[in-house]
Amino acid sequence: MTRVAITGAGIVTPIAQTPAELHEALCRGVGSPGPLPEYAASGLTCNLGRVVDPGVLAEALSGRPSSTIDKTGQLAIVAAQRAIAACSLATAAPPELGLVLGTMFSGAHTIGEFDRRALTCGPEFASPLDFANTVLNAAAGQTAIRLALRGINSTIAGGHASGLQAIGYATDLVAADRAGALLAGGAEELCLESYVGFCRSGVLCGTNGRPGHVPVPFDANRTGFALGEGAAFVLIESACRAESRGVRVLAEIAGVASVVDPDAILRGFCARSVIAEGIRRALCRAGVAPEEIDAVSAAANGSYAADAEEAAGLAEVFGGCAALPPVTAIKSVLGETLGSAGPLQVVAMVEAMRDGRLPGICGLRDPGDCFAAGSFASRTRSVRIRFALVTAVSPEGGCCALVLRAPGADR
Amino acid sequence: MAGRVVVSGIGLITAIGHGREAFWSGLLQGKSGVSPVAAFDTARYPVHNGAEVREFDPANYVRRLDVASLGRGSQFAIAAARLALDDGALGAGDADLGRCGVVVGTTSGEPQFIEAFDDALVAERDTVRVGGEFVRRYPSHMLAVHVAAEFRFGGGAITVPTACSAGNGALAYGCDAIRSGAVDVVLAGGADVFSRITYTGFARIGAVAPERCQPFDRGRKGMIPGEGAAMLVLESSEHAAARGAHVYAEVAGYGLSCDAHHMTSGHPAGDGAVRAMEMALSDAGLEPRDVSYISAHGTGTAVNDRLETLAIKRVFGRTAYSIPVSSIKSMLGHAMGAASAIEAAACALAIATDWVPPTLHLEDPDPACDLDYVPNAARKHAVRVAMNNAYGFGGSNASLLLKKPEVAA
Repeated sequence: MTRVAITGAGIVTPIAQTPAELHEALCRGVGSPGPLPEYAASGLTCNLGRVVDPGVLAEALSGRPSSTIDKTGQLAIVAAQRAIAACSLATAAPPELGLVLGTMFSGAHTIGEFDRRALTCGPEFASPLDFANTVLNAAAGQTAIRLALRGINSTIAGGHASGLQAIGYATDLVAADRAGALLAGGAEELCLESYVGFCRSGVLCGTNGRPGHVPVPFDANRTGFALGEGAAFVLIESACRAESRGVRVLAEIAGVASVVDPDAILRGFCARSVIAEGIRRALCRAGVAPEEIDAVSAAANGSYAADAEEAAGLAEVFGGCAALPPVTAIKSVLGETLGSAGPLQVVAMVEAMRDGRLPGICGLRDPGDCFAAGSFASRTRSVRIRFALVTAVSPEGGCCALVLRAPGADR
Repeated sequence: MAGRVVVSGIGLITAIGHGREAFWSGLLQGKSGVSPVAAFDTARYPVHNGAEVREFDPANYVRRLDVASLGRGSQFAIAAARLALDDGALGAGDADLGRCGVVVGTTSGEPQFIEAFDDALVAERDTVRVGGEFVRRYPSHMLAVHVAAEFRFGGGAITVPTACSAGNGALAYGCDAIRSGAVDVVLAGGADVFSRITYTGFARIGAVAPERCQPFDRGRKGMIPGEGAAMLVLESSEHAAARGAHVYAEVAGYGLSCDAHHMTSGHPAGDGAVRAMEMALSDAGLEPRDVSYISAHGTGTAVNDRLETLAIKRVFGRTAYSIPVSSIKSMLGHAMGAASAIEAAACALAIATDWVPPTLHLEDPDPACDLDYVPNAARKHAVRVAMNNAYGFGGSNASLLLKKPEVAA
């Protein structure tokens, strides 16, 4: 199989605007999402979340009209242009750069606003400009227009796993030589629709009558997740191509696999055996043994059952909790950013590989019986990472696992 | 190219009938699925027709999951998938379910749930009426997840929401998943439901025809929004051969591109569409002269049909005039993300039967549309290679090539 390299990365998050800043913030453990003033009066049981400062987007988009692009689109554009800027593409710009974008809700807020305006004022008052953004691939289309991306333009929906699945699809496309270079990642906006929806379904931290909790993955006292938002893209291309144009390879994508648990919707979470199967397939495609994995970035977000299943799935692959490499989970800081979560985990892990430090799990006080304290820790640790595993798990059953290889890593 | 992928089962839910036989005989007879909209009141709209799916009882198809918990889009997708598995005689014992995947293309997913959210918000001016099921039912990935859950497929479930080219996008994804060796079988296609949001938008931009869809006609007045689903059983040729499956067609190749020009209008010279067709031909190792039928995107809007004709002529040159080109949207309306999956099913059946479906209501051809559009009557025609074109909002273009299994690259 063609070796696939990551040669650039760009992000937009509430806490950091570059991959290095993100890594620093995670290593410092900048704390959990706080109250969202927008929803303070909503009467909903959880008002925690983390959103991107609108000023950040306005500044990054300055000089170009952006009023017809919704927030999901703006997040995608800014992260994509930052990824391009980071990878020295100007030295050998591919003629047909493409984009694969993962998202769970797309522009749900735009869709809702378009519909509510037609309901309130009549269909003749619905906005044609908003209509263009009601398609679920609007962010990918707007990014293509803004950045002149004429190659493959795809959008992937896989719930919480959308973004990592998008990187997986893009990896397969590059490996099969269907694309010279692709931007791959995800974008997700914290909007009224997703926020109210998750609150009502009782999965956010502090809901179900347990207020005051913050999201802490793998903690014995976890009560749910908090929403976040953001976008992240990596630029991927074949390792040969990266070599020939003389750009720095940040990491290689050694293997990736997607599976689904067909029983997850019946019980509300993806089973440990399915998570383990996804990880095993990714390791197999990478030709990497479990004991070669030096670090894990888990999908865990503070959900009670899902975190336990993921820990058990990891333990199944690695031969027990005691055999697990250090595990991090960055959603206690960023919140659950859904479609952008997996790509943010990938970008953060690439930085950890470069820096030799793995961020601790912010806020983790009591890892509980089922998690080995040594692997799940709140402190940031020095770890030499040659191979790393990144997981994304959707409560509806989708599971994606990806193996990263540090530049120059050998066995 | 590594690994051949074949189409070994076809399932459809459409405005002119459900299942392969009803669909294909309806198309060849020139049956129209257009009628006054029943899904919601169109009194305040300037137009009133649509192409809705009728006489659909999900209980006929959904066995494992709770029908009442499923949106209409998921019901369509599961129904088409069951019809495809039955058509392909692919039972639970005929494949390793852990190596069977699902890919569903869609424009809107399950829009009725966000419409209900909006109804609640507008009526109450508050969110108290929004139920916990919204977030479990609305997101578009549930289309694929529900199909996987119904049939206990474990090899991945992905929704590809790339607007009106999504069906082809999903088939392309499924094809690659098989070629990469990750899975043996993929249920791939598209599903979309009749939506107030979509209808409002197209009516607002003046793209909806008042009565009928007349692609390539001088008097065409626009598209007719529709709904439906098609799911195809894609299978590695080895897997199909090992179980003795009937093969309709083989996937010869595909091309995906983006205009990067405008959210709702195609590139004025058809550049993106041209690139997608050329990439598909190159991927398949075929020449323009090898193509014996083109299933057009053919929405019936003034701009689409003229641009698409131009793009076909740019790719095929003089050969374009000798290739039958038809738009079955003249009969089915525009089923959005499902459309190109339904049209891919039509291409597979054209290859299997050597018949091409007509373009209905083509009475006075537009001088700017001067190809052979198979006006008003189906035609017996040897179809060795069929090209299926689809274009969507966001500048998303997808061309898929299917061929008779014995045609060499």
